[in-house]
Amino acid sequence: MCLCGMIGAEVDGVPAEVSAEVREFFRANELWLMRVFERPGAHTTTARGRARVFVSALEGAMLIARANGDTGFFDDVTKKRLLFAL
Amino acid sequence: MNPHQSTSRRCSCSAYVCMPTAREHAGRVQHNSWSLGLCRFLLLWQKAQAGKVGTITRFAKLFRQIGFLSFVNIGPRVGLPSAIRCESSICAKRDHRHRCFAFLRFWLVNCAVEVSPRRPVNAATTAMVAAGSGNLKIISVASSKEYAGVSSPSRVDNLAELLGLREHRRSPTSVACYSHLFASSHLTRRACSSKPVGTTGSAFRILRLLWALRPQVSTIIPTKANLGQQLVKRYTAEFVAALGDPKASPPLQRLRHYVGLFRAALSEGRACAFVE
Repeated sequence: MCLCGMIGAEVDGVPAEVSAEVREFFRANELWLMRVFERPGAHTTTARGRARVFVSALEGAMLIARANGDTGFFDDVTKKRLLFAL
Repeated sequence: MNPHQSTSRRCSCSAYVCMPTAREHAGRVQHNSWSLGLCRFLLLWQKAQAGKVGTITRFAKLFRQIGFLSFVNIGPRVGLPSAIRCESSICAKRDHRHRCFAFLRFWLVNCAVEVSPRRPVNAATTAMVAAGSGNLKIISVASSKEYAGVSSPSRVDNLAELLGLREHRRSPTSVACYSHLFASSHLTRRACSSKPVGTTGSAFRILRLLWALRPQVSTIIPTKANLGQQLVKRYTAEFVAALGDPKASPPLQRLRHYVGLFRAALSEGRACAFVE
């Protein structure tokens, strides 16, 4: 599981400093993915949108795969996301 | 757990030491029992390492009984506690608690130990300690006989006050102050020789444990919030470092690498996406 995903789910119960760091983690993820998705001439918001969808799909897939005890679920989701990511 | 046996795979949330929190338990513990608490902790740790204490849960239970420190197991590794949280039940007085922790911190960081004139051990044991602990410093503070009933931190405080190193009587003696006292030979390092240096049997065990402990003590963090903050900060930094340059290879390859980090954590049941 993603540590920040787990803490992020309990953000109301953690100190402000910790929640700030968790936000920073997701921001760093988004920025990194934006760099991957960005294309010359394309609008930044497109890359940002793609990055958000991608990281959200991953975090969600991890959570459900963990709950189901089935890593195959994660693989299915990520495979499809990778197919349509670019 | 021997730190020298650590594998190349280290979870980013391991090896944090955190102390102290602000809770106080007035009148519960004597002034000088901080050292007893530490001794008991280290001896328990030693027992745990020797396999006499079965699980981390049992260890934590024993530890709570001491009322000095408690474990917060936040990482996947059992054996070495991923975090140690001090319950700060050392003393009711705030300034005394600070003094104790300055001393304890100095002790942990420098692998130093107080030399007591009571219960000296023989030369053979001393030599064994010296041989087994390359980075060991043995520090002597004023004899307990001269300050009957006064704890070691208080004795050092008295010394610091006499030398004008403390601004105010109630201000805590800082780690820097200890270092200054050490540098100016007011705290002395005793050479291990054929003569008994006065280390106790307990101190010997502690020395060995501290020697093993030191590489595992990576950070001293004041509160639980700071611990969480540092943990997530390090997690983020290591994760971003593992991602690498987003333009270093074709986008699909970078995305596969990104997914792979999460996938590895999921399949191994870890709480960290990154393992170095």
